[in-house]
Amino acid sequence: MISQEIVLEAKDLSKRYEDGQLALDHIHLTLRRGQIYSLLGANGAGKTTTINLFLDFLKPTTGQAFVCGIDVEKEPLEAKKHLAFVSENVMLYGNFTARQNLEFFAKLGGRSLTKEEVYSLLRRVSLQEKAFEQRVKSFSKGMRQKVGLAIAIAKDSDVILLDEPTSGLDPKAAEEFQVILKELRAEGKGILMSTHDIFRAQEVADKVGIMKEGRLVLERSREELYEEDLVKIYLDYMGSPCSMGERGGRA
Amino acid sequence: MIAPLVKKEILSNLLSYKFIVVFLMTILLTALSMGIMYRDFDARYADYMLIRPGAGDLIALTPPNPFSVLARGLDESIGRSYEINIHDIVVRSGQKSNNLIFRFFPTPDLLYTVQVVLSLAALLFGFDQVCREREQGTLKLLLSHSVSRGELLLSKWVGNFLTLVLPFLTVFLLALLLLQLDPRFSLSWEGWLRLGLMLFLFLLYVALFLSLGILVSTLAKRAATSLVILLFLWAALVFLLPNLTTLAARQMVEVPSVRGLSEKRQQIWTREILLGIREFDPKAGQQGVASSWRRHFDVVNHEQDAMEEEYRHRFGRLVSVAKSLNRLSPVASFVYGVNAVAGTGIEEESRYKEEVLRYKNRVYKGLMDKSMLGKEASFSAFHYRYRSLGETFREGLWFDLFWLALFTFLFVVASAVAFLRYDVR
Amino acid sequence: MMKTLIKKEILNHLLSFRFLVTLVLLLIVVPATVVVLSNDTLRGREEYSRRQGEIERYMEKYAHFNRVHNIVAPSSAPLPFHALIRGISAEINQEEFDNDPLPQVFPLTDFTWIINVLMSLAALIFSYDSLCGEREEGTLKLLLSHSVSRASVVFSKLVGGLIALAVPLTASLLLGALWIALTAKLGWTIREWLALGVILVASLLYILFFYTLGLFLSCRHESSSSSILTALFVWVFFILVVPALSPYVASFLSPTPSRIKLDRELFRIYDTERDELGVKLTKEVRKKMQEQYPILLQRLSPEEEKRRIASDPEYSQAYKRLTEETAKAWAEANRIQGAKAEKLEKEQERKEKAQTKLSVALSLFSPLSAFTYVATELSSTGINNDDRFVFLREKWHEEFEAYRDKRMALLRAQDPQKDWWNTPVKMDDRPRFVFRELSLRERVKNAALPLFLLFLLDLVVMVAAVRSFLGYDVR
Repeated sequence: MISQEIVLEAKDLSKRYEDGQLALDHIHLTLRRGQIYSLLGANGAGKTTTINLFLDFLKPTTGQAFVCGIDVEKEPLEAKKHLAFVSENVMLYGNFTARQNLEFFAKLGGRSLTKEEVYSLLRRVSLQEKAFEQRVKSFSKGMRQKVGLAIAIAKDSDVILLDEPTSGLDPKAAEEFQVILKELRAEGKGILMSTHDIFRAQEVADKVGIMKEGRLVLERSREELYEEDLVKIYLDYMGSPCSMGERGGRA
Repeated sequence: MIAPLVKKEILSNLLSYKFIVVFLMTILLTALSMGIMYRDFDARYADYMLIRPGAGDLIALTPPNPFSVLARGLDESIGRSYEINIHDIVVRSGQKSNNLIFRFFPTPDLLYTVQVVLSLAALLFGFDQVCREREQGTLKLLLSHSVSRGELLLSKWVGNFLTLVLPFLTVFLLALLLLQLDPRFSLSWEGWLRLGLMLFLFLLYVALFLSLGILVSTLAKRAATSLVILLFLWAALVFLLPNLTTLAARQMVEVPSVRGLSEKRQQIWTREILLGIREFDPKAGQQGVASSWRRHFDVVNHEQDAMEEEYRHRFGRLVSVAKSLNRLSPVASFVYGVNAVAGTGIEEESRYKEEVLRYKNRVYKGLMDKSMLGKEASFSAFHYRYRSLGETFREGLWFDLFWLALFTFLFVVASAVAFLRYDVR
Repeated sequence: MMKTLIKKEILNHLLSFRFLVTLVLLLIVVPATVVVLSNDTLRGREEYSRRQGEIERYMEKYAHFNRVHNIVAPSSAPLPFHALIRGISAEINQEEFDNDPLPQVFPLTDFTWIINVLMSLAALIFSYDSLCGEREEGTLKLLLSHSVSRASVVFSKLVGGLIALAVPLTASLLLGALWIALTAKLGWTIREWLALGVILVASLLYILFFYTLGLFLSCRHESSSSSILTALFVWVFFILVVPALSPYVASFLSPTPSRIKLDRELFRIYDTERDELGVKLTKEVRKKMQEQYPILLQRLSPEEEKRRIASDPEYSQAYKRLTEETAKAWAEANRIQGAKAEKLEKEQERKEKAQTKLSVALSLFSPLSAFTYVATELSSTGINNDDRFVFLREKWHEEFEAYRDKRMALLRAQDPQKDWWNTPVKMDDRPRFVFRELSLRERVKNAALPLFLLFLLDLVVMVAAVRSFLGYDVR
């Protein structure tokens, strides 16, 4: 049985950029083991900023981000040991083959993979066999996303952060992606994923958060969503001006 | 149709970081180089005024060439003082030779600045003209309008050439204007023609590298690849090829060392003096003694001249072999062309030396006649006339001009062909 | 962890286009340069021994003390290291009628040049996009999402890049070294090989500077295309501007009077002024002697004088004293003027030395100069080598003068009447000039300061690079 410990936590997290723009406004969120958390929101709502804060790509203006109880700002390297990351557009070392890329990043995570292990990982993300030993330079976006996911899987971390991983993929590839996410959830990983795609979010997520202008304006669990129409709520929020967050359910 | 395209090129250049860097580099280095070389000229001119031969001094000396401010070339060698005496030519050089550091590094004259820095700038302007637009996707957008590819390429060429050349021209003309305040730089109409020709060579050279840059940018897939290719090509064309071929020419033509020549000269005259002293016969009378000495001095003069001629001949061969090999790189043509126009080139120096030798022989004959016949000899002062532009042109300049223009033309045509068949996707 | 990162950097470089180009270029250029330069050296040696032979033949027949110093003027054969590094011993001779101006038009390539220009350019090309390039490509985010510290990323880039640059350099140098080793006539000893080892280390330090500089700039820029612009600008500044300008700036800041002017002044001191002084002093002497020997007051024609000397012992005595004193007066004039001239010459030398020093100091702002000094000092083709030649030449001059005086005294003892100055004599036992290079220890000592400076420059850019990457915005 998978324990319900919290693997990802944002406490009063905000970020103000040098130009004065408030990108993130006092966010609280938690993610438990074996959960998929979908962050919804328009472009510039603060989804990527949230993920960047967990990755120590940015320093928070206030608040703290925790990965498995480790303060990211204080011990970034320790925190990153428990993290894997798949970006919107996974970019790899173009001169290396898919296998070389995967081997390299697995080693950074402290794992030396045999060729067989590498191949089975690549098979798991359903990359075509003939691409295994090809230079990544020539890969399409879908293929790169697959390798990116394989890299995340190879790391075998507690948390996986995904930044709009399926945007721009064809439906079949997106579906395959979804299946793997579910498998990973079953293995007990905590998954935080930002996305535009409400339908898929509704289908797969255990928890959904809607962001707007840097705030987490609403948070719903899977159970609550059975009774509500997420699409309607989402469009509601997108349509009306933000009303200081009173309507937002904070966790 | 071309005008808006050219305007777009110029505008997008003016706003770029690239332009700022190149602008600063050009202005700074051109001004610095001309300032430094002017002061250098001034110092050498002061030297010249100090040792300018008075009436009756048997010294071959020419004032520093005002064009050396732009292309120093071998002007320092030409401007040395050659003191003629009966068995030798004593050479004196100015203040530079004792600071060894001068020997380590090249002279930063305008020629060098253009040769190295402006060519680099031209490549930086050209390297991403086509492939960057493709990478950014603007090429597709551009070509979706009713613009022919030829027009597009032409406007790129013209627009970039103008932005590249304008800062240089401004500083150059400004510096020339300042130089006009100095009476030593007042030029005859031929001087102005030379200046114009040098400027033309500068611009042609910049055009050459810009065309090369554009050519490679149409051939390479990515701007980064294009840049790597161009930088290595640049190093090869500007430095490697001319320098290595000069070395290779040395392997082909054997030329005695300067040191060997001067040792030989010493041996010849000390030997003849010794023989003259030992032959001295007080009974021979004044006439006899004088003719005995004359015989010995004739031997010295004759042997040294023969040696010199042999050396000049071989060295001329070396120079022509080296030049032919150097010209594998059009950069060599540029350097030779500018130096020839400025009157500071190798040919000019050789010609000058020959003139000095002729002067020496005139002086020698006069001195001998004086001592033999007791005739009072008067020596006309040494005078050197630089090659006229016409002579310069006939003696190789035409080829250098043609060669530079040919390369530029080929690069332009090749880039046009490549661009017309360019895969826009 | 570091190992993985470094391995990836090296592999990434090895697979790149720029690596291929650098490798090919160096594999052509370095061996070609070595072959040509060693042929040049061998030919120079042959020519040198031919010249020595000619001098020997001359000496057998015509050696006479009056002009012998014109003949046996010291010169040295090309050194073993000229097969690799030309240094300043290149024949740019300003004091002879014939000169060889070709190297002035296109300076000849040697190993120093290849490192100075080609390798610095290659180093910048290797590193200008190392961080901003990864950012643009997007791999930087993925890399940093793993638990790797930024410092280790920069460090691995430094080490990996340096190794990737060292590969083509060492490979091509090995080929060149093989040629040198096989050409036994060049006479490379353990000393040369050791010096070459140190030069290689210095080359790597020099390359590291430019590589780190590129890395630093790539942290400072958002895009690699602006990074390369700044990099090239800085390169032009360090490679082409600072070194070339330094001697000119030094000559303006610390001017020395021109040699031509000095020559004139010396001529005046030794000639006209000496004559004036001599005449003045002899007049004083004559006056003094006339007071002592009033006999001398009489005005006599030369014939009468001769007769008086023969007939009048008193007059003869006075006359002898007078000639003695006059000679002393002239010697005094010579001494005074000589001291004056020496002072002037010393002053000139001091000023020239000061100017050279200032040029060196100014040029050291650029690592190119630092490396040039290291390489030329270690290969004994540099400034100190030149000084040493001058020093040994002076020493030899002294020896030779002592030899001449000794021989002349012996010859005069044989026959005091004969004009020995202009008589051919055997001089087989004359002291011969032999040029011995500085010992390796001395060379290292001379190269230590620029080498240390190179190290310091590396450290400065390294700190700058690490610092700016720690604050780099990854997004």
